[in-house]
Amino acid sequence: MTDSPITKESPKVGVYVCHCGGNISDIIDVKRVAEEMEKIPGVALSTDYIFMCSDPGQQKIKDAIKDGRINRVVVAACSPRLHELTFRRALTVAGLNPYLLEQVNIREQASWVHKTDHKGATEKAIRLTRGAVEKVKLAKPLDMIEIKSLPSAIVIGAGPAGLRTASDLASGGSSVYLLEKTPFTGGNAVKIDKLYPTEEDAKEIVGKMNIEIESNNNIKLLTCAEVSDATGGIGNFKVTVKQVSRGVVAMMSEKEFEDAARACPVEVDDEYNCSLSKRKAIYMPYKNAYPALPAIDWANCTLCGKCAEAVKGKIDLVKKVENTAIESGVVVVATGYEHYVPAQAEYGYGAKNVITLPQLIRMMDKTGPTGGKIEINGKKIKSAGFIHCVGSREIDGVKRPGPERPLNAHCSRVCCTAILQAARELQENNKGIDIYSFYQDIRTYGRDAELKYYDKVSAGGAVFFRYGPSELPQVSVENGGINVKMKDLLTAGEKIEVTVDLLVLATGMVPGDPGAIADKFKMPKSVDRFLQEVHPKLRPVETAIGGIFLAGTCQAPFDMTEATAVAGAAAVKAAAILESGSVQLEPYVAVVAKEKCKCHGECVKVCPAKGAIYIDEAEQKAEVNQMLCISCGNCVAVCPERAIDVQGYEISRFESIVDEIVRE
Amino acid sequence: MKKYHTVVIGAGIAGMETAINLGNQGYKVLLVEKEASIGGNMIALSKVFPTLDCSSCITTPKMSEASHHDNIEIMTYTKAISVIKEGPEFNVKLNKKPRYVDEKTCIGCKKCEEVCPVYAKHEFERETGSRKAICIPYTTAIPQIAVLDPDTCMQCGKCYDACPTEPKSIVFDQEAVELEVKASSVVMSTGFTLTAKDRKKEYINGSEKNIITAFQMERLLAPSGPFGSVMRPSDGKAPENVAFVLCAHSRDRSIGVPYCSRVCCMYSIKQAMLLSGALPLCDITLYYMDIRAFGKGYEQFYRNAEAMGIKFIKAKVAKMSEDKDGIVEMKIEEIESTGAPVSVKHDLVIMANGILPGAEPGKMASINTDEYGFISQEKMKYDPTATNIDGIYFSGTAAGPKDIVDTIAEAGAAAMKAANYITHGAGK
Ligand SMILES: Cc1cc2nc3c(=O)[nH]c(=O)nc-3n(C[C@H](O)[C@H](O)[C@H](O)COP(=O)(O)OP(=O)(O)OC[C@H]3O[C@@H](n4cnc5c(N)ncnc54)[C@H](O)[C@@H]3O)c2cc1C
Repeated sequence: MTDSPITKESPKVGVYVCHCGGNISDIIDVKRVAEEMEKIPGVALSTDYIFMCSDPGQQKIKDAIKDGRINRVVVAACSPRLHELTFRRALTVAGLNPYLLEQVNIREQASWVHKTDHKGATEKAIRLTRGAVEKVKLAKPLDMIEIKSLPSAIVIGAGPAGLRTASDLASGGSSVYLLEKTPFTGGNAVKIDKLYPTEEDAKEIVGKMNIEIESNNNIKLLTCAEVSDATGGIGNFKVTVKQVSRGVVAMMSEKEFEDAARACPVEVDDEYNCSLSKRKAIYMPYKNAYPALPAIDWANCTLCGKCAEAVKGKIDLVKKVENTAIESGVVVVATGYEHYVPAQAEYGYGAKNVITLPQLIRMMDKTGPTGGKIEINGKKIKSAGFIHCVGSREIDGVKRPGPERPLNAHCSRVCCTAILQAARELQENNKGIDIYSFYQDIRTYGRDAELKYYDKVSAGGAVFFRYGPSELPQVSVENGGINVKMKDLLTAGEKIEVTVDLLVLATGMVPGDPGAIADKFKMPKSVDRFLQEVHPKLRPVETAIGGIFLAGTCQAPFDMTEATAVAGAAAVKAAAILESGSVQLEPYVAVVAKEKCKCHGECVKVCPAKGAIYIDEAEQKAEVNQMLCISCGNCVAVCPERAIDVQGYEISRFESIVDEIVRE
Repeated sequence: MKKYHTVVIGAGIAGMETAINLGNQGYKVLLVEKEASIGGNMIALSKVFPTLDCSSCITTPKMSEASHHDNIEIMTYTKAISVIKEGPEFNVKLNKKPRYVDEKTCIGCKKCEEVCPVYAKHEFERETGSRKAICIPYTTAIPQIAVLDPDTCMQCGKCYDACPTEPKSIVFDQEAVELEVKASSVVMSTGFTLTAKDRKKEYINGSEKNIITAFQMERLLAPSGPFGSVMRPSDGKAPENVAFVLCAHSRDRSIGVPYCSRVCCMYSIKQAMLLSGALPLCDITLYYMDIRAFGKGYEQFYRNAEAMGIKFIKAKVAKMSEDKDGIVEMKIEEIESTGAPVSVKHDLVIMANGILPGAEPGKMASINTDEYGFISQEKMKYDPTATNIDGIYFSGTAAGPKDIVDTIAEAGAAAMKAANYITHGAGK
């Protein structure tokens, strides 16, 4: 393709000005833009059309190429991020090298930002398009860089999303490393003993997924494992996994585990029960946790050796840290979320009987810390209040989270339904209980949620008070009673005061640890601090880093149904790469004009991608590793000899754009 | 009998995305669409929340990708009738409706459309605009092949005369064709439809002009829409005081739609924002029960709308009526004041209709549906796109209201499941 005779001819540029159905043409005089381009030498054809991205629009380009009327293309339309691929494909189909295309953005950069200045916007569009015409004239045909992809995936995090992705990929035939930083699979989900709306036990559902994982030889599960370093890129990720020994080295019977735990003198808060109970330094979160081997909590273990004495030969208290290098073609991040933990005294948090929703959910589990009982001093509670949106939907200026944490402006999506599910269960188990909900909006949007929970709880006599975003409920704890005061919008702002036995704070989801993972892979985050997708609709599970995909709540709050659907979507995108065995990369890489290079070494110093540019010692010239180059252009800027250029983005081409934009 | 790895039923965003995901893995897909163009409901939207991308801009590339994909074959104007499992595989019966235009010879030149003297209500414009009795379905339709509507055609023959192809592409005696294909797996993405405009008699009696549906508003707001601006249907004037009635046909037992339609809050906010951009002087009020802005970035989107000066009033709308000047009077119960019924007036009202299943997937195949006809999620919590039959999966609104982001996630998941079923269940 590179040598296609078409491109040896002198440039015959085709210019296509898109109306974008009015998005552009309502502001910009597209006909004039097209006419102006026609005057430029080398422009063989210039026209406008309602939707260039549509099939008939693309057909216009293809026909002109096939007829030999044009051999370079400029599309003046939206952002190339949206449609560059679309138009490149059209060029390819018509037999023209796809890099002989220039898409110039006259929508975001002209019509949308100059809505009230039609003349100015048109003038700007003309200048921008003129620049693109000159730029495309200097374009050379390029070929994508094809690299082989390793046939394996690394999935980070073994909650429901990670389990789903791993299982999907493995049953398609790919080999999968599934990394989990704790000793057990299941993530936060296994703390939920009844999932809305099916009321299934998450431990059982995760149990089914564990079986899928265990029975698939393509999956290698590494627990107590964290990513400590990551290099490489799509097709060839190199990840160093730091794995800490589990401490327990052989299968233990239930009795042996009990003996060992009894012998352990250490007691710490049990995170599985949201700190409502204690556990030992040798532990297992729940009975059927997977892998079915207890683990030593090294952070709290005193190495006293009592557990090892109690069950001989099964525990090794010498903590071993192993660093293993693993490689893969793709990476799927499924690191999940964390429950928001209120600050001390936030809505009375810290006082007795002020608990969080995740804590209540643990208490309602029959196998949980209170055996399913919600009692105070041995008596069933008579009233419970729920404050919605704790740590969610915060508004700057109203809620000051303090310097230690940023604002959580997002809605956590699951809490409304989870609250009402819990409230319904309380109504069923504690006949006559008074339920109070302090809310902003009831967001029971999901399947069955409205009828099964919201309607039922309302019919059961629950009282709803609505607070506004700028006046939050005030909680005070006085001689045993918990007092909630607020202005109720539903009664025209009447001040209400309610005393409850138990106050539940519906704490939402906040990004869990993605900091560490995001930094290791240099992944961008959204303003809400969750990991960011490329585009919510066009590329919802892809990240800005090629070959890294997002699954589950590391991206945004989701319930388990939604998280596993997204995980399936991540799997299918990863599978497409793994199945074909190769990836195509953009040819925009640095190239060194060897004759000019004097080996100053400045380029190597500023290169942010380890090893992308280096000095070939034998030749004493700079050399580029195309696979690693990220086209940042740092080396171009610092080279004292001007010996480096980024292919496709040569300085000479930029100069021609600038000249055209400023030309009178 | 022709055989495919997967037959995808319905070519909305769910079906297209499912097909592309499968095609990219090398599977042969038949994508069946009952309408004359692929694209479903999404291609008719104006702009989409929460990014406010223009909907054509992100739907057309998908349509184009699906239609040019080496591994995807598309049949439009073809309805899937039944799906029957035989061993691990499926027999799918299809009914290809007569287009009265030969798909092989039509070149999409629109000459027929130009000469046709008949104007009929345009389905794509949700009846806000008109089309000819023979026409290309809409500007960005795929394929660009004309379709003749026998109900409005008066058989004058002008189109036949104008057709430049040899032989003529207009075939008045074309008949429906029944076909059957085999597939290793099936994905149902039959989508949604909206409640009829007059579903709630307290709102609509029949003659009202300035009470429109949400989808009509989408078309009025679409840059490519029938008028290129928002105007009152009664007199073509720009509205000055507009109301959006949320949950107009949802969360309402009295009309049989007790569930939440899930997208209306967000699209109404979106429409209000677009309207405010187009007519900055217009007063805009949203009457709502709860604002359900639960997706990524949605809450922030809602706050932005408030900051733009759009009014949000928590209220139940009890009754609407339109006077002879086209002013709509609404009896509302304003929940956050005294709660006493008050009367408000607006010169244009947009109802957020409820979402219903777009087809009867439960009758097509022996898959379970809920009482409203949406496909049941048999393994909802860990395998969300599975039905009760191995080898049949679903994506999108066929299994309940949802937005595009959630639909696309399911399309990926369903494609993955279908691919793995082909490998293990039915053989590649
Ligand atoms: C007024 C309005 C505004 C909206 N705005 C937004 C927004 O801004 N952002 C957002 O994210 N979402 C929005 N939505 C939601 C969005 O439209 C849906 O999420 C999306 O269209 C669902 O896609 P789908 O493919 O599931 O269904 P559909 O678009 O309904 O596609 C289903 C397709 O299947 C075909 N079909 C059905 N039965 C058969 C059969 N038997 N054989 C062959 N073909 C069949 C249908 O003809 C149709 O083409 C809005 C919805 C409405 C009503």
